[in-house]
Amino acid sequence: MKLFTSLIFILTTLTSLSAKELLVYTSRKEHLVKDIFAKYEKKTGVKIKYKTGKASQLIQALKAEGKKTPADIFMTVDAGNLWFAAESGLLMPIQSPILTQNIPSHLRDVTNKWYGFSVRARTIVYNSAQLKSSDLSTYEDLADKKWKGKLCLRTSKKVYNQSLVAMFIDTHGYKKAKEMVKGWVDNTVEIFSNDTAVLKAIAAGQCQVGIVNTYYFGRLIKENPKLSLKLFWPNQKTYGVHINVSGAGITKHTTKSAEARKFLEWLSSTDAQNEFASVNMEYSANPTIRPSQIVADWGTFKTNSSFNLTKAGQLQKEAIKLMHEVNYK
Amino acid sequence: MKLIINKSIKNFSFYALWSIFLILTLGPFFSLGLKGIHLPLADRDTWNFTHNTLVPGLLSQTFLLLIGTCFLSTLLGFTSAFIMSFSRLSSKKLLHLLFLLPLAFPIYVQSFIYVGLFEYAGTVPSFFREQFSINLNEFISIKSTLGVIFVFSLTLFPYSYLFIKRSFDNMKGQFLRTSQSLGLNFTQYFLKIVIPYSMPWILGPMAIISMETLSDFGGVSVFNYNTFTLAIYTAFTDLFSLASAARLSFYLLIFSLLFLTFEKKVLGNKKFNHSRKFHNQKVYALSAKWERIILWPLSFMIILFSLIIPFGQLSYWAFYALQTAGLGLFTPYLWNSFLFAIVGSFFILCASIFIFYSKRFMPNKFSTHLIPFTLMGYALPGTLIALAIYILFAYLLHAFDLSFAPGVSLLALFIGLMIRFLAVGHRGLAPALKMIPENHDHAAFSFGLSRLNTLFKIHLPQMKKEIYLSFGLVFIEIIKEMPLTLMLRPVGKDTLAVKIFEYTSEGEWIMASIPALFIILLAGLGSFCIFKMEDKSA
Repeated sequence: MKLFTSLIFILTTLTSLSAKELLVYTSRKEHLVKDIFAKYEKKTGVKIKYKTGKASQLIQALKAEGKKTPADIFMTVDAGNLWFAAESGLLMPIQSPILTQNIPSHLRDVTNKWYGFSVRARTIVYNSAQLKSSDLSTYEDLADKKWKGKLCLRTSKKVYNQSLVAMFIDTHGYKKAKEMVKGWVDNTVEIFSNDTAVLKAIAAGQCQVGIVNTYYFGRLIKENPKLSLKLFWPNQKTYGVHINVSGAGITKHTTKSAEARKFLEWLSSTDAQNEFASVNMEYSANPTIRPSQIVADWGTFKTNSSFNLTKAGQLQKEAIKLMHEVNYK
Repeated sequence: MKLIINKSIKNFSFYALWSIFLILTLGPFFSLGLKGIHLPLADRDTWNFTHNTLVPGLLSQTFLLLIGTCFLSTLLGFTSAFIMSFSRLSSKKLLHLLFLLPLAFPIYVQSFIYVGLFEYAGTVPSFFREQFSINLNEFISIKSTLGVIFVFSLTLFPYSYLFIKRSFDNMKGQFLRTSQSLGLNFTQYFLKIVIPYSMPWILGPMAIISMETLSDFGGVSVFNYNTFTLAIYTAFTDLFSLASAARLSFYLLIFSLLFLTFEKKVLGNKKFNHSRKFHNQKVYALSAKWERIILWPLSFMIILFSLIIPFGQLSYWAFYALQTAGLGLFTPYLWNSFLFAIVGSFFILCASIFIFYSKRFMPNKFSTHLIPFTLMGYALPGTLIALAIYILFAYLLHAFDLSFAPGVSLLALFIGLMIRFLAVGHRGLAPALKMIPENHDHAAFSFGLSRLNTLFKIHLPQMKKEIYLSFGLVFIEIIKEMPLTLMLRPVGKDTLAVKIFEYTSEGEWIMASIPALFIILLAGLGSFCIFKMEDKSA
């Protein structure tokens, strides 16, 4: 037993993080965070270490580590994941006038346990050689029989779709939302494992219309500008386009909360926001920052700001059950 | 008296070692079990939904995939072993290597290559549509059950091939003269003598193929094909209920034990008759002309689909990706993967030798009955093993008031890899147990050598081949492993598999091709070493 204790002690001592370091658990991919973390280190001398992984794994790791967690910040995509981390008592409330000033209220937690730092829209994309924008109107319209055999969707296993359906449940109620999603499934040609595959299928003519996050569209068009793909902003006369965030919070048991708060404040600043959002062709959460030229060219649109993203987490279970009930795979 | 004391000290050390070994291999499962036993009120809904609603719908899909993959992998393994053992084909050494190399492809990589090639917007159907106005997807659906079975079998058939080839090589020639004198032709000889004798080695590998299929999540998710693992992932990833996931995982553990029992029943007491007299005897199934017509194209087709097409597509993507990303970007990950695989393989090899030692010198009920339990991790998804370890470590660290530092993470990673791949290491060493006669031990003891000395001086030198084989097989598995490494790796120590996860989860298959190619080259190197080693000992 002594041997075990000594071994763990040595391992712990040798590898513990120094005070001038912060450790971020992030489900945002390395190539999307590496440069911005390096920029902060260059500016302040505080080294940002990170561990990437699936959001659920990182949350379970934080839970298992409890008070002894080495992580100072939890960063992830989708408000559903952020909500669950906060709900599980893994994040601490952050009192920061800078953050509350820079990040609008619908993009942050009601108790300030997490803040969104970039915004993505989950919108309609269509084959511009086969359809005109006037053929499209709302998410709900895609459940109409006229789209039978023309719709492509991403799997219901992806949290982005779960949050989207959560929004429909919140907006229309469970029964109507179920009818609508069933309509989608009936019209679907194929269900894909990722948004890029949905976009490629639409461009190739396998289907004519689909629902994707905007940055996947941006990446594919940047790679191949000749593709017959266009974005469409639905529900402009009603509640607006469904948006979601990638955001972060400070872990409840960190001993470096002041340092961690400074880092998040910097992430919300003009200095960081441009890069944090533009590296992935997203929109800045800070409304004073203009999106990159590519993103700006997609046009302006009304977003569904009445849907507080906390609800995406609260309704996630119901959304999963709903999708299972209508055989959305 | 001294002898009795010495013996009891030795037994005590042995049982102490077994206790540590059991804590390491079974401790995480117990902690997972504890999580599963107590279902928090908030998790009841999730349990009811996943267990009562989700699981029943997934069973038939899982069963179909399992049966189909076992059947097609065995068919491909059987065919390639038949070609190797009963034909005149030249360059058999090269052919053997080519039949082995598909092992280097992780299932999730082979899956994203084939989906990228054959889905509607993929390379092949696009070519046919544009050039010949033919919609290939009316005839081929890569995302159908048959498509998933096909791709899984292309990756898993070498397991079957290795076993069946060994069996054919040992059998061929035996009873040939007797059967000829009884007027049997080759077909009759093959069907009535070779096949029945080889049956254990035809059926045996199905256990490992089933466990690989059942524990996969990366591959099936590329196809959006739902199997039992989906229920576990839904409970854990989407509904955040660890208790439900832990409960569901016990079904997989039961399946794992069933497969291991099946394997033991089928292969348990079977031995190869190493008869040099017959080993090199040439037996041909077909005339040279029919070999060219049937066997050549068959072997070419197997190699084409399992190796040339995926490797070609991956190289093409990698070439394209390298125009925007430098190779240097991936060298740290290459190094980490290599290092983890080397250290992990060594760790697992030591554990496998310990099991070997237990079976050899302490063949009592205690160890014999516990060994199958220590091997069941092979049928579990890596994520779940990682979680089980995380929970156990969390208990221990809290108890000792220590933090979860990266060094601890490294230790956890190696324990996780051991739990996951101990079955592979053990399977590699197991034949040595039967090969070394017991009178070697008696002779060593009579010269006053202790059990440990006998192991190091008598056994290990004799089982070099099995040790290298075991090391090579585990090395390949660790290089390919993704979910466990993703969760347990220390901060800043990303591997090639982690990079593949990052790119493929965003649908960036072209970028994923570079780390995938590195993995295949490293695992290919492992396969090549196994091949060379087998070649030397042949």
